[in-house]
Parts: sequence; C-alpha cells; structure tokens
Amino acid sequence: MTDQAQAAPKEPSIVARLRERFPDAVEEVTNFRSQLAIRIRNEDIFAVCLYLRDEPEWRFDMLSDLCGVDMVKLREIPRFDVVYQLYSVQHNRRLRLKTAVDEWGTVASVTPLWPGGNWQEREAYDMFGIAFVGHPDMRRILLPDDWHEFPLRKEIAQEGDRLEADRWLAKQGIPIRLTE
Amino acid sequence: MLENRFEKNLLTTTVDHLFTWARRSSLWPMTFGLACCAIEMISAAQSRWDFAERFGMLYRASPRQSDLMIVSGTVTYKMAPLVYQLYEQMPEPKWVISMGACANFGGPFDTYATLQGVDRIIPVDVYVSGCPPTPEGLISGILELQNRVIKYQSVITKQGPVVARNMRLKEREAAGLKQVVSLRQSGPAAHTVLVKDTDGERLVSTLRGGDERPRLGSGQE
Repeated sequence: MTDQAQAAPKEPSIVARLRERFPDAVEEVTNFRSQLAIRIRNEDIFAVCLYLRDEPEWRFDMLSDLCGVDMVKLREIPRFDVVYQLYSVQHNRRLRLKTAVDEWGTVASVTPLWPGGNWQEREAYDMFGIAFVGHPDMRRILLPDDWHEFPLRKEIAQEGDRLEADRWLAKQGIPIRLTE
Repeated sequence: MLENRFEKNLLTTTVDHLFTWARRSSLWPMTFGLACCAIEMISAAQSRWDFAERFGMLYRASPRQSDLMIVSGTVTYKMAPLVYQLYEQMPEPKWVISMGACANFGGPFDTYATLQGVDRIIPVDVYVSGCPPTPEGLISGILELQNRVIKYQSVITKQGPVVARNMRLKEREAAGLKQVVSLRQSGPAAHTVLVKDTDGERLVSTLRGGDERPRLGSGQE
C-alpha cells in the first residue's frame, strides 16, 4: 500500500451501500490489516445481516463464527460486544460485524438466517449472559442449566465461585468430601 | 460370603485365599474415559502393554459388572454427578484409581468448571501422577492396587471386616494427604504444586508426573 493510499483510505463500497440503505445503522468502520469491521447499531443487526446474506452483490451465506466479548475494561457502557464473522463462498470475501449489548440486554438472534448460529449464540449466552431474541432454544450449552454464574464475565475469577459450585453439587445429592 | 458360616478351619482360609487371588487377578475396570488420560488407559490395555490379558482386566461396559473404576481425566462439575452415580452403582468390593493430574487435584484446570480432584466426591485408593501418566505409570498403580486388595482381604480374614474397613479408610486418607494441599499455594508455574508427604513439603511439577524422570515422547529422554 502506498503512502497516499494510507493517508486517505477509500471507504469500501460495502460500507457505502450499507450507509445508503440503513442510514443510521453504521456506527463505526475500522480497517485493520485489510480486515474490514463494521459496528452496527444493536436494533439494526438483523436487518443488516438479512441484507448482507440475500443481496446478490454480497451473498454472505456463511456465519463462520459468532462470539461475545466483555468490554468492561475498555469502555463504560454498553457492557458487551457481539462479533459476527461472515464469509461469502461465492465472492470469497469476509466481513466482520460488531454490535453492542447492554448488561442484561438483548440482541436479535441470527439463527433464523444462519442455522449455524444456534450453538454459537447459546455459547455466548452461557459464558456472558447475552440473551438472543428469536433464538429457537435459548438455554445454556456447556454448563449445567441451573449454573450460578456466567463465567467469562470479567468480574468472575478464573476459578469461579467454588462455594456455589459445591452447593450445586450438594443440590445434586452428592456429599462433598473435604480432603484438605 | 463365607464369613461366619463355618468354624475357622483350613477350608475357609483356603477358599478365602483363593477368592482373594481371583479378585486381585481379575480386577474388571469400567469402560469410562473422561479425557486424554483415557487414551493412555486404552493404550495400556492394548497389545504393547496388554494389561487386559496379563492382569485379567477386562473392560466392562456396565458399573454393575465392574469392581474397579479408573477415573481417567478431568472431572467437570457437570460430569461429577454421573461419576458419583456410576461409583454408587458398582457392587462391593470396589476400588478406585485416580489417574492423572486432573483427577488427582484438577491439574492445570484451576477453573470454574473443573472439580478440584475426584476424591472430593468419591474415595480414591491409588493416585497415579502424570499429565497424562504413561501406561507404565498406570500399570504400576494397578500393581499397587493388587497388593492392597490382598492386604485388605487378609486383614478381613484375620481381624474382621471392621478393622479392614478402618485400615482402608486410613490408607485412603494417607494417600489423599500425599496429594496437593492447594493449588493456590502453588509455585511459579501453573503446573507446579505443593505436595506434602513423609519428606515434608516440596514443590513438584505435575507435567512430568511429579518426578525427575522425563516422560516418554516428551523429547527430554
């Protein structure tokens, strides 16, 4: 890339088209090592995803990954980010979408668009407590259903709350043997 | 089985001896792998180490047909109720080998989802250290367990089941004390743990099985 191009980076056409179609949806555009990431307003994420999936120009027909991020140490509010990694098989093109979610807030599920999002969204719920509205089966995926914490939140220590975990075991009818 | 049915005589002791011999020579472990340690356990049962044939250890798919539980791998909280239930379903007399650092004390997983040692829910007879232990390590644990089976049965014959049970409880407690006191008191690396035994306290790396001998295949031999 030449110096001139770095000085005045041209906004990719996909961003222009998104701004045109959803005037208020695009909040921020970052281009890191030619990986394009677009921050979308929370309310518009489903419409934007639908557009990107079905428009012949883009055809992002695959959701490679979806994850939650706890942004508590990076900004005040909103608490979480949800990051979508999209891939277009037809155009061999990748795109990253981000959207912000409040603590105990909600975001629209993209499982109706990409069935592969089902378990990813359940994992984000399991680890952070982000609720996805419109998900067909919104419950924990890895931890037990009645688990007491969302362990990837930053205020949870790595070892979690052992006392509560032992209480959970006791609730299953298992006496804890203390060896120490 | 034959207790209190005959006067003490040659026949009883001989039959007991035969039973003990049969018991320790055919410890049937339950097919139950929890993590990568299970691969070493499977490998120990196959042709190279072959404890299935050499020690009469047939893997059984049902806890009701097994008398040995090899807890081979990480026990998560979600899995713990199932481990406990399977242990409860095994008929007496039953034995437990805790295989590998994770089952011994949680291993490298000092995390929210991992039970810090399977001995928090079920009593353990023999701990095999290593991450994972080599098949030789597991076999050494099994040989140790076989000795304990004989010892336990002979104490039952000579001094009665109460004494034997107390002895076994004491042995289990002693084995537990040899384990990690707490990971929080661990040394510089996550795999270093504080171990307390007859020599006093010392820091031990669990990565090499807690001893100075390099693990096979680690590139350090």
